[in-house]
Amino acid sequence: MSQTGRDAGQTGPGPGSAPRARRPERVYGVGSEPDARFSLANERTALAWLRTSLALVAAGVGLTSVAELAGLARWLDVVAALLCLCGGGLAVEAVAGWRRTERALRLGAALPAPRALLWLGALLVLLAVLLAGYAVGRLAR
Amino acid sequence: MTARGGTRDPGLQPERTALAWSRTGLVVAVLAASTAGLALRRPSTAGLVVATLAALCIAAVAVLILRTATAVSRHDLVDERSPWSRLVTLASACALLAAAGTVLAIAPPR
Repeated sequence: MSQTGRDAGQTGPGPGSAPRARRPERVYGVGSEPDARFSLANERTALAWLRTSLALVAAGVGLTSVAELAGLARWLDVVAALLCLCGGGLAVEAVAGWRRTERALRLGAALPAPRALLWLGALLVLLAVLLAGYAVGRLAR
Repeated sequence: MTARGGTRDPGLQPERTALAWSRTGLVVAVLAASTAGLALRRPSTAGLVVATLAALCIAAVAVLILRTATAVSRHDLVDERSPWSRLVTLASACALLAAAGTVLAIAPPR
């Protein structure tokens, strides 16, 4: 563990606070301390991604219970399970994205592209088409 | 009243971040509670598994809220602290909830 003097000097440790290596090392071991506002904004972005992942899980749970109550087709449960799984994946990606961005901030590098955004959009379009098709099919019957 | 960026902003940013944390924790807790409620309508092993997972999520959020509250009261959110362990805890709760939702969707009703 290399707790460098550079880090300690820039964050200005209060009296009596023992210098402690900040985890993860892969993020805090490189570069210099960025403006705290940028770090906090990065943190909030990760939380927003987590809330998005929770929205996907909520959609899955909601779809399951509505399908059960209204006696809808069984394959909707598979769609619901898929939504929940994507929500779980997005939660992992939220943390990975925070890590990438914080590292880039510390290095003064260009920020990484939000790659989950494209997949999320594609998933929502697919979901919309599936559910709209199912609704129209039921109305037509 | 003067919104001199340099003087006002540093106070607001940690506050906004703390609010984002509580917002997210609240969503986890509400979703976990309703998932557990739905699961307990099914008297089956799958229902019990889902309810247990959801209860774990609520416990994780409770721990997180306490930790964040103490960090805020020590003005400790900005320096020294890394949000890493808190982020990992919350993301684990989300993933756990996702697993619960998947079991709920796939398990045969009743």
